[in-house]
Amino acid sequence: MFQSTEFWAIFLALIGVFWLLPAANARWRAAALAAASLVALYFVVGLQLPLIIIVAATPIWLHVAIRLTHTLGQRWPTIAWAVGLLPILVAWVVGKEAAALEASPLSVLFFIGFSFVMIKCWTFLRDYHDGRIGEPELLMTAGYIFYFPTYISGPMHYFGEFDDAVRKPEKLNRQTLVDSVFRAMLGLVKIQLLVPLVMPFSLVVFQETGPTNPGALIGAAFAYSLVIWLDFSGYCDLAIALSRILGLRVPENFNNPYFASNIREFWQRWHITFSRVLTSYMFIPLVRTLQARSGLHPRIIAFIAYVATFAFCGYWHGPTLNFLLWGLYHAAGLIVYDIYRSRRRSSHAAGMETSGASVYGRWVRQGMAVALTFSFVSMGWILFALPLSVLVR
Amino acid sequence: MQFVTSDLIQLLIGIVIFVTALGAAIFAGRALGIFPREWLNLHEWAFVLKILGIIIFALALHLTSIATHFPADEFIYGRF
Repeated sequence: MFQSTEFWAIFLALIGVFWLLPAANARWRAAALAAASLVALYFVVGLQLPLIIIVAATPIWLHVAIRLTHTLGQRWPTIAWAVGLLPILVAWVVGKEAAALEASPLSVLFFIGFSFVMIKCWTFLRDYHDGRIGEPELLMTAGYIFYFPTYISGPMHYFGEFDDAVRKPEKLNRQTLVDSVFRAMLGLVKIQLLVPLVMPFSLVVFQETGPTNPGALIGAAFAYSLVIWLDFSGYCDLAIALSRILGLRVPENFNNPYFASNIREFWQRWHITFSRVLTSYMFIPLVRTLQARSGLHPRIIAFIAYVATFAFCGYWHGPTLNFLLWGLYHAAGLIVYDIYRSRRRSSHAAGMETSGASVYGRWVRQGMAVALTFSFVSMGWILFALPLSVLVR
Repeated sequence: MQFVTSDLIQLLIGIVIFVTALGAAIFAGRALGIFPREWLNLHEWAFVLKILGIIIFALALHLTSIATHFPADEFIYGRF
């Protein structure tokens, strides 16, 4: 996407139009973003006209849905939210399943970026019915849903963040411009130069033939860790940098994830904008609901919520069994880490563990924790990158 | 043989860029201290080095065939 001439032509035109429009008129700025994004989705992302119509209809449906369910939402916000999201969720699931079966014309619904659009719709409706956003303007919603620098790979901003950014754009000065261009170039180097350099040593080479031996598979998994981070963070660098040139602040998506010292911390540093959606819009509501209604032990509730949340996380990434297993693998990791953490706390409370380790000892311990977490995550990428048919061959 | 040599050179370029970028990110604050302050202050040095980085990145992207030929659109994290 960022490699095409059309992309840069549309982006440069947008900069001109965007900055010519008066800062006070957020509606027109949102309209410019929406229009340029639709053009980019057609010419750059390559969505066919029927899919462009579906994407373009999404914000209209969201506004119809919030009007229709406004009264219902005052009493039962969750039901109102579910009613609004249902058609989008059904289309998303049908598209995914059709693509997995490789046999249906409905697989056209499995189009690039739909998973991100679905999450944006989800959080938009939830935020509206929970009162976190006021009455949205249609043009702003359209700009939010279509916004093309973040359309393919995120970061996933919330509607409130996008609305704020468009209404209060940051001034572009010499420093911001150089910082942004530097970051954009770094993103391009990651995507265009470093990814193809590491890719031949990664799991990608086994996607057709399967692994030759366990050692090669493990080595390729570590290399794939680099590939996926370089590619994904490279796209996010570009999206964030280009947004800053437009004066729009987009949240960060990575914070040195492979330096995390446990799996919980990894998910606070990797794909941050998706993790926060999963935490705030799925995990916590699920825990609260189960606490209020099930009478189960808090730890059992947390385990159920981990499994449900990460099963969804896996399915969101792909409709095949390997993605689901990848999600459950991470849920298992989080459950094991929670047990370990609570036992360690109990040991501390009982005074059984000494806390007076030397600085060197703490460094070694921290290093081992980072290496263990990185290894766990890297082995997980095997399930993410390779279909089961290839793995069990 | 020419193919292998060119691949190795590109691999080296990639490693150098990666290590430089990583090193710059980690030690940026400390590394800036080695530049003479009588010419520019720290802030200005950072600014100049970023411009230099932009030029190096642009040259690397333009001159390495692996970068110009890689079909990045076929491998995007969000392509699911």
